[in-house]
Formats: sequence, structure tokens, C-alpha cells
Amino acid sequence: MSTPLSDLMLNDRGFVFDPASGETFQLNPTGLRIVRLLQSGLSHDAALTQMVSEFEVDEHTAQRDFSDFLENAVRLGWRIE
Amino acid sequence: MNRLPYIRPNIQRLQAGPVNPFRLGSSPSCVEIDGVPVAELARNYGSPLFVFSEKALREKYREAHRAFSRRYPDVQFAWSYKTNYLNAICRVFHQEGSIAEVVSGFEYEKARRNGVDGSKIIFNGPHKERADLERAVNERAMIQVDNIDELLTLASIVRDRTEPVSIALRVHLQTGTHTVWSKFGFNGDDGEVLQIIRRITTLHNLRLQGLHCHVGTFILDPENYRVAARRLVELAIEAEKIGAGQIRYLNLGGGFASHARLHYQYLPPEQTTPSLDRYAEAICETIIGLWPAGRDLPRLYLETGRALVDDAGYLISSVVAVKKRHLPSQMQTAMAAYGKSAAVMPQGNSRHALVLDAGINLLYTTAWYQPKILPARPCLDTPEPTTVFGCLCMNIDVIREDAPLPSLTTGDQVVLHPVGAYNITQSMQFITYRPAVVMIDSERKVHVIRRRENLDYVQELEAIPEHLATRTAVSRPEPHILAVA
Amino acid sequence: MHSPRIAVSGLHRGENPQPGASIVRSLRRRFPNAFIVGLVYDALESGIYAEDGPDVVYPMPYPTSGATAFLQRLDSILEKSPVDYLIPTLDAEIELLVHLEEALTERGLRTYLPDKEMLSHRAKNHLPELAKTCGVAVPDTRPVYDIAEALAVAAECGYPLMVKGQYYDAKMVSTEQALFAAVFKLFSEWGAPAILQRCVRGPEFNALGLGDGEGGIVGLCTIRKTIISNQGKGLGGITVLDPRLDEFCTRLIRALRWRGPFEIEAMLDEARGEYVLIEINPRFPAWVDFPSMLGINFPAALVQMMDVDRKPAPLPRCAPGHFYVRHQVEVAGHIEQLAALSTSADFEALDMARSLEGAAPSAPTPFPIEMGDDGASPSNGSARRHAH
Repeated sequence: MSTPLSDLMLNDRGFVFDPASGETFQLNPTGLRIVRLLQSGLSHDAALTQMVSEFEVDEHTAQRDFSDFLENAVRLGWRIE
Repeated sequence: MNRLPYIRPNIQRLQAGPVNPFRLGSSPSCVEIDGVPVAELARNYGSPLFVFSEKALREKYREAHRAFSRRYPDVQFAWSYKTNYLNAICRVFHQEGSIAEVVSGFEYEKARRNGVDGSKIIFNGPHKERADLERAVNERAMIQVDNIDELLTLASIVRDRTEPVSIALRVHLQTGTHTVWSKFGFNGDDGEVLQIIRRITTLHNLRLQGLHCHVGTFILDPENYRVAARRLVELAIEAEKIGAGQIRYLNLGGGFASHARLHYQYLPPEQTTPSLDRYAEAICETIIGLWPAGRDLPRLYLETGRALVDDAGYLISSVVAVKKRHLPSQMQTAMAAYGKSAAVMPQGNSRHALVLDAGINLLYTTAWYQPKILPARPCLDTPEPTTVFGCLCMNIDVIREDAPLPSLTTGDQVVLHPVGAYNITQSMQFITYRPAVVMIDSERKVHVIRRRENLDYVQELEAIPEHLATRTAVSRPEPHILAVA
Repeated sequence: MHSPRIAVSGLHRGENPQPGASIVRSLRRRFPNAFIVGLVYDALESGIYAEDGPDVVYPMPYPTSGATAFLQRLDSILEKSPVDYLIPTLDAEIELLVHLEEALTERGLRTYLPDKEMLSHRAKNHLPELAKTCGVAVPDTRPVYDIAEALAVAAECGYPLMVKGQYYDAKMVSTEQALFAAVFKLFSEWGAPAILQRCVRGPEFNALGLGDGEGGIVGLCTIRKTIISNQGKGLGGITVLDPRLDEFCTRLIRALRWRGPFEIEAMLDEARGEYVLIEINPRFPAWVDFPSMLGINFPAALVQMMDVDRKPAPLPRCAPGHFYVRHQVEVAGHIEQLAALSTSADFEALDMARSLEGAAPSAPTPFPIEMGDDGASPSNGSARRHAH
């Protein structure tokens, strides 16, 4: 059982409530930005490019952290398309 | 548009326990050491890099000396070579007025080459070669006898001399520490020491002049020293009664705590490490209070090492890889050593992890202590429990199970502190070169006090048997070469 | 004194209740206009959401993070919510705060705490020495720094054994395996040493009181525990008056010259026929509101004692025969409150960066911004209450 990103309820301080499972989560600002980008329908590649343009980060680091973040999200029960 | 500061994206599952973004406080950093930027040090001298603050060494020595000398008329510090015998470090302490305390022929020789007169060397330790003892006798070093074999060897060395040789006995005592260091010296509680003293009075040319007790290491309760000092005074009085003459000096050894943090130490060192004044008070008050009236107070020797050098030493290291570490839930509490905060695993069953370019071969003391690990740049994001691995190709190379750290990335430098005691003397060369060591003087000038090792240095003592001198036949090419072809 | 501003920690009242929520209740009985600041270590501490809970709540760093982290956080809290009095209620927290008396005074915060020596003399690993000095009995109690030491003590004392953390938590173990697990858990949560104590058979007694720092007791309330949970917590108690128990407490407090609230845990050892000392806690117990209900308000007296110029008259004794039974209830909260308490400080850092660029910082908006009409509506216990 996993919850699609579109069903997660979140506020702009990164607090997340999964209404299906009843679990709560806390995103940090960069994590929140990734979730917003993916929720808006961007592909993973496009979201990653957007992150690099918005934040002071090199591509190597952004890529590593991005996939790590998604892997963690999946493990925590979120469905990443 | 300017880009925003980046921190590693992160999700935490909120469960009872970790629902507190402030639980680990904020992220302190260490951008410079004695006014010299960490980045500059790493750029100029490489990473990893040991850094010592000469100012901190001198200030700490003066603090310790002041703590004791304002309470006791006759105090002498002896620099504990084993704690850190880099010559530059030893010489700082000798300049400040320390004599030397050594525990082997090697250290003895080192002290002599640092210009210390033999009579200003306290010779300690459970293993002293006959030749070393002969030299020590000839140079009138202060030999602290550890065992009966050593005593008898000494007796045979001095038998035919024209004048007597003065010695001290090392004793171990129940002082309230949870383990008694019974490996060393004679038992001071069950009468063994007194028997040995009686024996000394029958030996030709040996005069008992001092009693020495080193209660243990990293002693957080000064009361242990009060007990040790009391028992030493009582033994000194007994010794005189049984004809050993007046005891001229008491050596209380070392063992005072630095600002290191033990594993499983809940409160940080700022709250738990006693001030040097408290140790001084426990020792000096006791001796002055119990020493027989009308008798000259004995000289008080102190061999404190860790408390003087540990806080002055730093290790700069760099992040070489960022990882996640998966831990099965039953291992989680066993993998926490930092206190309650660390038992919590907000990342589900995984924990942030870093690999540094330094390993536990340089940080032997991490077996007992948790050095602070501070980013060398200011970080705004909140710290998370992070496992810090070393660079060795061994699974046991874990520098800290759960250091509270903000998100760091490859190339970031961190500063480990305090690491000035024992790490250099106990470090081992393994799979790569040991780093350079620099000392920052009081004018902020940086001096290399030990160069980084190189292949020639590491191989210097090796020899290749003749039959291995020519190269072996080249075998067939490895598969990866074939694949390319 | 009509509306004192008082910070209180330790607000959980679940299975392992902390004293803070009871203290807040007692304070509100005496000072209905008090402004209560809750210092919490977990957003799920139940007292945050209670009807008579604190007016405002702030998460704090764990004491293991040290003085700097604690004071930094305190400063940012005081900027938003000034405080006159601080009542810490957790042992580990008090262990840290006794080092910070000067820093707290500088910040205008009044406390009434023991000093380092008093605190250390009553520490669980020093109980035998303390008991010896004042001539009270104590069951065999030994600090252990590693599992080998623990096994050696167990071999000598036999099972069952009580295993205790130096600041918190206790568990009775009957096997080597349980001992092993308990010692490791305590080490990782509360550090070394863990304390092993021989089990005593007999009824349990608790004494709640306030020491004046000169060896005297300002107020004392003694109870016999009547209901004890599986975890050894008192779920019920009845006031008693036994001169022997009073003498027992008086000796301990006189020897310690104890300053501030205390809870003495004792048992009437069936084998010896005398009271034995189990431990002394440097704070009020979780049942501190019980005497307040009888009109003997220890937390209010403590606030008076924090005013340097006022020394309260000795508190009367609780007459024997009153009893309490712990009554657990549910309190309701909404994820909006949880969201406010869990928001990471990282967002403030990002706001700072944004404002440097001239962009408007993203002000916290109510949760959930994307919640539809059929979503649950917030049900805050009290409109005046905020969480930060």
C-alpha cells in the first residue's frame, strides 16, 4: 500500500499528512520543493534540472541527493510515479 | 535570480520521540583554528591534517600549574611522553617548566634528545630493559619501580656502586574508581607495598624516596584523588616507621579528564569534566592536612597528559562520500552512543552516513571517546544523527555511530575535536600515509611539526630477499583488459 | 504576582507521566492569570493539548546536546515569550541546569534548584554513601559501566534485580538476557552508569516536599502507594503520617541541605521491618497536584520561594486518609498543532536567505492549505493557545 503524491496533504512549512495511513512527516525546504515539482507533473529529470537552477548545488550532489530522497520517500510509503 | 542555499532534501517520519526539530540543538561549526581558516590549512597542508594550538597548550599548562602551585608549595609537572611525544609538543611543555615522564627506553632516549637531563626524567612503566635501568641509574633518573623483578634487577645493578640510588614504588589502590589499575605496581591496600618496603630496607644501596600512584584514566570524580592522596600519605608514614627513611616525594600520576566525551556519556564535557582546580584541591588539601606536623612537605609530582594536550589537538578531514546506512530495528538502540536523541531513527530504518578521508587508524581514542565533529563552514540546517565512517577498507572503521550533523556533501571539510591525546602516538600506518601535523604558534604562524608520510618513509626499513629482487614473470592479461580489447 | 510568567517542562501524562502537567494545574489553581510557557521535548507530550495546559509551547533541545544549545534555544524563546520563573521537571534537564544558574539569572529567570554537590550526593550511584552518612538503610545499589560489571553484580546479588537509568527509567529483570537488554537500552538512552539495585519486598511510600537549602523542610506530604502499575508507577496513593517515615525524610534532607522540590521513594522492607531508601528525585512527582487539591499547593509555594524576598510559611501537613487514583483521559489535538511544533528550523534559515534577496519570506500558513471541505476542522482546546 502506498500513497500517491497527489493524495498527500502538505503545508508550505513541509508538514505532511497522509490521510490514508494516518502518518505524518516533516520535509525540509529542499525536500518540499522536490515534492511540489513532482506534484506539478514535472518528470524526474525536469524536476532535477529545476532544483539545480533554483539552489546553490552542483549537478553531482543534486543527482545523488535527489535519487536518495525518492528512494527514502518510497520506503516511507509514498508512491513516486 | 540568485540561487537559494542548498541543503540535502530530507523527509522524516514523525513518531513519538523525534517530533521535535530542536532536539539536537543547532549546528555549531569550526571555521578557523586560532584564527587560521580551516580551508586554508587543508589547502596548504593537505587533508587529513592534525593541527595543534600552541597557545592552547601553554594556557592549559599554566592553568594546571597555577591550580596546584597556589595550593601547594612544592609542585613539579612531568610531561607524559606517551600521551603525545611529537618533539615540538614535548618542547612546549619543557619550555613551560615540565620535566619528562617516560615509560620505555625509547621514550627515555627521546626525552634526552629533547635536552632533558637524566635527573629530570621520571622513569615509569611495567617493562624496563636492564640496559635502560642501568642508564637511568647512571643518569640519576627517578625510577618508579613497578614489580619485584624490576626491584631485584635494580638491586643487582646498584650492588657494587659507591653511593645509594633513590627509587620510588608504584602502588595501586582502591580509590573508588570502578576498576582498580592492578596491572601496575604493588597493592597498597593489602600490605604488599609494606612488605616490599621492608625488603628494600634490606637491599644494599637502594633508598626509597617516593611513592607513586596513578589511579586510572579520565577520572571524572576528583574524590578518587582525595582517597589516593590520603592512602599515599598513610603509606609514607608507615614506610618511615618501618625504617625506610623519610619519603621525599609523592607522585600522583595523571588521569585528569580532558574535554573529550566518553561513549555513553549523557551530558557533554562542558558540564562533566571537573576543573583542574577541583583535582588540585582534592590532592593538595589532603596531603597538607595529613602530613605529619613539623616535617617538610614532600614534593608533589604530577604526570597529567591528556588534560594538557587533548583539547589543543584537532583533526581536519574531508567528506569523500555521502551514504545511507540501513540498520535493522533491533540494532538501533545498540548503535546509539550519544544519549537519548540518537536512539531515534527518523529516516525509517536508515541513518545518514558520511565517509571521511581519515580513519580510526588515526583516531584510536574513538574506541572510548566521541570526538565532536564540526563542519568547517556555517550550516543553517538542523543536525541529524549521522554515522561517520573512516576511509579504511574495514567495516569496523566507524569514527562515530551517531554524530549530530547537518547535511554535508563531498568536499566539505570537518574538524574533529578534541584529538590531541594519544591519537598521534597510537596511530598506525595502514593502507595510506599518515597525515602531516602542524602547530599554530601564538602569532598565528603555522609550522609543520611532522611531514606527511610518503612511500620512501614507509618502506625505509623493508628489505627484499635476493630471490625476490627480480620481477616475477608477467602472467596472462586480466579479464578487464580483454574486455577493453 | 497576579500574572506570573512561568515556564514548565515535562508535560506528558501518558503511561509514564511527567510532573509538568500536574504542576501547571496546581499553578493555575493559585494563579488563574499566570502565563504558562510549556517547554517540551516531543510534540506528542499530552499536556500540550490539555484544556488547562500551557498558553504557549516550545520544543527544546535534549539536555545531552549541552548548555550552548539549551541557552540558544531559551534565548530565542524568551524573545517571543518573556518568563519570570522556570520549573524544570526532568532529571536530565536539572542535571544540566544546575551548571547554568548564573546564565539563567542573567536572563532574569528565577529558579529554585539544588547545587551540583547536592544533586550529585543524591544521585542513584551515590545512594549508599548518602544513606550511610544519615543512618538510613538502602538496598544494595551499584553503578555498572559495562555489561561484564552488570553480570558480576547479578551473580552476587541474584535475581530479580532492579535496573535503573542514571536519570530515568527502571525495570525489574529476572534473567541474564533481560539484564543485558535493559543495560544496553539504558546506556544508549541515558548514558553510563546504569544502576543495579537489589529488590526489596514490602509496601512503597513516597514523600513529596520542598527543601529550604539549609537542611529544613518547608512542606512534606507522605503517601503509601496503593495501586502500582506493571511499570512500577504509582497509580494511586493514600496520605499517611508515620513519625518514622518523617524522621527518615528529615535526616536525608538535612544531610543534603536540599534546596528545591524533592520526591523521596522508600519502601518498608518486610525483612528488616524498617524503611529503606530506593531513590531521591530532584523534582516534584507526577502526583504533585493531589496535595494541591487538598489545599496544600507545593508548586505555588515553590514560586513564592523563587521570589528572593519572600520566604513562605511552612506548609501544613496533609492529614492522613486522603487518597488519589490516577484517572487517564484523552485530549484532542489537530495536525495543525502538530505541524506548528514540528516545523523544521530549516525553513527559518531559508526565509532569511530569501529576505536577503528582497523576496517576501513565506509566512507560515495554516494547515492544511490543500484540505478540502470534507477535511477535519481544527479543534484547538483553547483559542489563546499557540504552538511554536
